[in-house]
Amino acid sequence: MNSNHNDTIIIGTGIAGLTAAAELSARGRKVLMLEKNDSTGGHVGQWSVCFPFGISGRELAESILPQSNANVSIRTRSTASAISTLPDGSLSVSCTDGTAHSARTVLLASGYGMFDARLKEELGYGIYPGVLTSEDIERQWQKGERPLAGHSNPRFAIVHCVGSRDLKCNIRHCSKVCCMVGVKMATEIRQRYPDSQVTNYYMDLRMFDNGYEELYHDAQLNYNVQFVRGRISEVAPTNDGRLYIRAEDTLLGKPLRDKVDALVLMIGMSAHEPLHVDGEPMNRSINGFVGTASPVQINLTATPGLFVAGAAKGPMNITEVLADARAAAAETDKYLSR
Amino acid sequence: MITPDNFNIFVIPFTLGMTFVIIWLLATIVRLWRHMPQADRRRVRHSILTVSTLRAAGEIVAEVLIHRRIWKRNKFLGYMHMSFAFGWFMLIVVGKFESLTYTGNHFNPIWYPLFFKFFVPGEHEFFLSAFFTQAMDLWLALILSGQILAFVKRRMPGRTIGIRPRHTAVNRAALTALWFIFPLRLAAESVTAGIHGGGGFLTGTIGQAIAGAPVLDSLFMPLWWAYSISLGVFFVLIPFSRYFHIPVEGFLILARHWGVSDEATIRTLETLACSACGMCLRVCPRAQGDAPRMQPVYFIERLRAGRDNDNDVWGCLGCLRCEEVCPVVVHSTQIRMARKMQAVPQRRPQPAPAPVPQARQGVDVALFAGCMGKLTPGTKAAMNRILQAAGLAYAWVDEDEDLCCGRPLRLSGRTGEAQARMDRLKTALLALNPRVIVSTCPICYNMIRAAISARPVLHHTDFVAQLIDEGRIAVGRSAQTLTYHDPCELSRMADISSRPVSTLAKVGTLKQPDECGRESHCCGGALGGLAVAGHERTRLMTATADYLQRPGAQTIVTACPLCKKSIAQHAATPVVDFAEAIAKSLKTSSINQ
Ligand code: SF4
Ligand code: SF4
Ligand code: SF4
Repeated sequence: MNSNHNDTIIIGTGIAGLTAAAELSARGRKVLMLEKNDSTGGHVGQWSVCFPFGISGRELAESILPQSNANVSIRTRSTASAISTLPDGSLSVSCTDGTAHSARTVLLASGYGMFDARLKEELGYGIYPGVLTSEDIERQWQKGERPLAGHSNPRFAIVHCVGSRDLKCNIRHCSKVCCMVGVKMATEIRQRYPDSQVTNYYMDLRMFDNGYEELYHDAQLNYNVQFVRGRISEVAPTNDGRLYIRAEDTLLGKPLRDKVDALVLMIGMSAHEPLHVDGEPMNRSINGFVGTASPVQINLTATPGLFVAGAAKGPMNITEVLADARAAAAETDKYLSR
Repeated sequence: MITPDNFNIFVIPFTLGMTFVIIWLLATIVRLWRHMPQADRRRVRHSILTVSTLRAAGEIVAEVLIHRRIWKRNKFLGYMHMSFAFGWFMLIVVGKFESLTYTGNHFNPIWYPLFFKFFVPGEHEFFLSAFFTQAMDLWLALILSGQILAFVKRRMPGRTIGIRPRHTAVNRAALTALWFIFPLRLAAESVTAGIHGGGGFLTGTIGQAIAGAPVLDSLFMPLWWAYSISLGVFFVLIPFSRYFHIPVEGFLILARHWGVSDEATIRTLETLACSACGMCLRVCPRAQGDAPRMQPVYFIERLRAGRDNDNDVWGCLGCLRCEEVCPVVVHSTQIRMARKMQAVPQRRPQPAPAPVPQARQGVDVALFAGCMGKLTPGTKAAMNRILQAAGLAYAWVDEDEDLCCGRPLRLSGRTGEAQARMDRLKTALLALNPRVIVSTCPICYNMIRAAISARPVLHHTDFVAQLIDEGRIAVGRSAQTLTYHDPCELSRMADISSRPVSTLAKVGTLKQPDECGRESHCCGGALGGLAVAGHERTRLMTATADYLQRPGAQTIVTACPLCKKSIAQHAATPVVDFAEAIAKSLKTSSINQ
């Protein structure tokens, strides 16, 4: 099916795609959105609470793009597989279901993948039931589930930088948001399980944005969260079904052992396999995410008419994604007006 | 007696060169002998008149002359090496007998057989003279055929030869001299035959063809001079070039057969015996990228010149692929090890007191996961299931204590400290008083089996295979397809490769890549190679992960925690340990036992 009447095809309906769609439709552009999953909202749409907004990810995503919008049509379960330039300069996106869609511009808002925690086998994900990822916990909470319901005084350990800043996984980049998410999660655990104890194991805390540092202080002062600088080196099951962890406190220079009920891994963002554009894999930046045309053209790729927005370019927090998506929409609009 | 019949001034370059190389070789051997420990010298004295010398002689013929190991790997290279070595050897031997038969004198001057056709030109009737003439031409033809082949290949580097090593200046000079020798001999003898008649099917035929040409007389002396000079230059360069391997390899083979155990002696001989054939270059995973070259062929060449660098010493992964194919069996990783030990201060600390797990003494099986094993708890969990199914009492010796086999320290040249770690591990293992010691890491396994002889030491692949063979556990076969990756430390170092495969064949269908077993690729994670940059590791790991996915099996199985980590990180196909593959296929009846 060819739908040539669209001005823009947006790949991905996470908060980047939704924001750009809202901007472009407000400027009178017709937008087709392709989403590989069953519903819109992306990763953020699955989070129970978003810092510092204090609302759930679903609410946040829904507030971006009003439900019915005459200029925007959304196709779910459509996975874009390749992009090609047509003779008239417009772009065609082919999907794995065999359909192809064309428009004068394409905006890539395909976001990121989550690091597969099984690759850090030493942390026991997929081997010991008590080991969870940040994504697992968010999902369970959002569904209203309560992990570790039966435990009294549950002990939690939160591990930062799993699949980020780890040469052993050949991943150098910092995923930027997981420090904040890890601290936020620690306070949330303390709220949900008032008799719990939480310790965060970090390499260094990168509390860079508005309100982050305050969150960190709050976690220590009001929620009694413990912070240990060091990596967990080993996880083993105990006879009573808990987890035995070993780490090094690198501030004290001492080895450290503990028994916990749950180990939460703050898994990082990883780049998707690059899409093929005109038969070649797309340019990638140093961290493997989508690369842009130049340091100044932060939303244009090397292909004319093909734009990129949000965390497809590398880790970003929600505020940054919103700003970047608006910029990308403005660039796309400018291109369409030429 | 030196007379005009057997001397001409042109023989001097050759004679000087030959004398020089003989003196140099003798000096080298005497120096090695002097540095050899008493025990080894005694061993040599006792072995000289035994059958081991004969065996060595057999190997010398097979390897130094025929180059059997090169033939097995690469017919083309084999022919080239054989044509030079065997052809030249036969020229010398037959030439010796020719001059002996002709003069009836055992003590002809050293140059006489070589320049026989100069001193005795034309046709002469003596015992077997026709045979000698034809035979000498045959050997010359053999050498020249190898040379023509080599020349053609040089013009069109193709598949057979693969990557060719780039040699140093002195090696190139020696090679140039060598390339001139035999064509010049052909020319000198042909011209001689052209003037005086005689000669065999090669020189004689050419001689007849050019007979009567007016230039022959003016070419005669210059060609014999050139032949002698090229020989002389080549011989003088021998001790400084890779061609020193020609005389030294024989001594290396003798030393091995005589049981010389002194590492330094063997290492020196191996260093000198490397022929720079470049076979190691073709298999080294590090040769595929753009990293600076450190393969044995280059490392040894620089080591001989006393100019080996950090990358040579610290840039080798220790995967042993090179040693597997080396026709001289040069243990280059040991040579590097010795260099590492020179680079790092040596100390031998007291081992820390070992944990003595009183409560668990007297187990059937003492298990050791090792530091890498801690990174793969899935393997440990699988072994627990298997051992429980087998109904055996077991204990992991490093359950709550950090123990180390010492290998990482050893590979960084700190052998004394490594030994202290091993001593501690040994005490802890034996304190359990186990019937058998099992390690799930091939690296630790190699270390432990070298250190402990009081108990059987097994790698877990062997141990689990034994449990199945003895009927202690039962496994079921499913439709799954598996590709087994042979870890370097298990296949090449411990020679365990067929049993894991035949055991896995009991639980699924194997799809092996072309190069497996002792020829397997290195996962790229090998513990050596401290100087290998991160991006190169990634390249190595990706290449091997891709290679293992080519047969298209559903699961990749390996038997080393390091391999598992390296491959899993870069493969889309799931990667499991051997123990996990077996544990998954345990028959429930055997679990309930
Ligand atoms: S944000 Fe924090 S936890 Fe996340 S990768 Fe960066 S340093 Fe690690
Ligand atoms: S180390 Fe062995 S394989 Fe390598 S060049 Fe020397 S002889 Fe050949
Ligand atoms: S051991 Fe492996 S990495 Fe080292 S030189 Fe040999 S083949 Fe190359």
